[in-house]
Amino acid sequence: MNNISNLDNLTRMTRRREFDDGLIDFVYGGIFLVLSLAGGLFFSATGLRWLVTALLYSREITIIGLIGVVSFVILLISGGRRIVERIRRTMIWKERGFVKSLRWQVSWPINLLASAFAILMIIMAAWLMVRGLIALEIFLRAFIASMGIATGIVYFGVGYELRLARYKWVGIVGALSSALILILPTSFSVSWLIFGIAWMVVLTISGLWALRQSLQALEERNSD
Amino acid sequence: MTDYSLPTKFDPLIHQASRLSIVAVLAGCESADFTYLLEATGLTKGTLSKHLTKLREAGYVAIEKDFKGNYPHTSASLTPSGRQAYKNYRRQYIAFSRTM
Repeated sequence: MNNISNLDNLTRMTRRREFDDGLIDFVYGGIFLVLSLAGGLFFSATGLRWLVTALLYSREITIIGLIGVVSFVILLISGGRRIVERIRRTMIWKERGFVKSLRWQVSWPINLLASAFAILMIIMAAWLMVRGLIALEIFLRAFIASMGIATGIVYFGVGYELRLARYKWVGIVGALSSALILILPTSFSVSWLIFGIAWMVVLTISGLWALRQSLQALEERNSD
Repeated sequence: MTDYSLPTKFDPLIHQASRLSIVAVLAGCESADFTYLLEATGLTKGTLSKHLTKLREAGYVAIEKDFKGNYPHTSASLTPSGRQAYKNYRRQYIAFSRTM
């Protein structure tokens, strides 16, 4: 008879499949990069000047342009997932069968913990700023750092739930890199860039490592 | 006479070991194809097919058949009632284990 831990292992093994080959890390790494480039440009002096000029020229075209940027990010996510699915169907999972992953991979306690941490950190930074203990720039940097640390909590949580040591490290390194933003004397737009690039680098390394392992396993399987 | 029946009323459709494995695998994804289910559960094609049919008849599993190139392709997914049934079973099982 199956015991509950055997059953949970089966469920976990199936959930892990989405992350085992590391391809999804490249997609999310790319998304972080695009978001940080967009944020970095948008919040820079040049970006804000462009935005004001564009709004004065034509409000409608500017709004359409902004919707275009958001649509591009959504397309990037769905397009990236489709490419990953194609690679899996034709190469990595060709002999092992296909699994369509759960729409929501992160369980609610992890999401709750990450969101609560981010909100608490922002409230604390706002309180310190109101009391005159920190400057506005530090508050803004705390805002970005809180998102990075929350992302780290999510990755660590997923790693813990799925027993994926790689994601625990991604969570720790990503969160620490994001926390560094707090002490780096950079502007809001540059902090955005650092946030995105740090996460992109962490996820790319994680993806490359997992992909290498996955391809090695595939090669061994084919040679058997 | 000693009563050997289980004190908790488990869903007999899910309680069977092979079907339980299938449902546990499907609980971890939106859908999985026949090849993956074979690998993950370790069942034979015939047994897997038989149990999938039973689960489909009970309304716990939805089966989709199509073609990938020239080959038939079957994938299965848990229906909302199947997902709920597994959740209930898991909860009952844990509660029952604690009484042992």
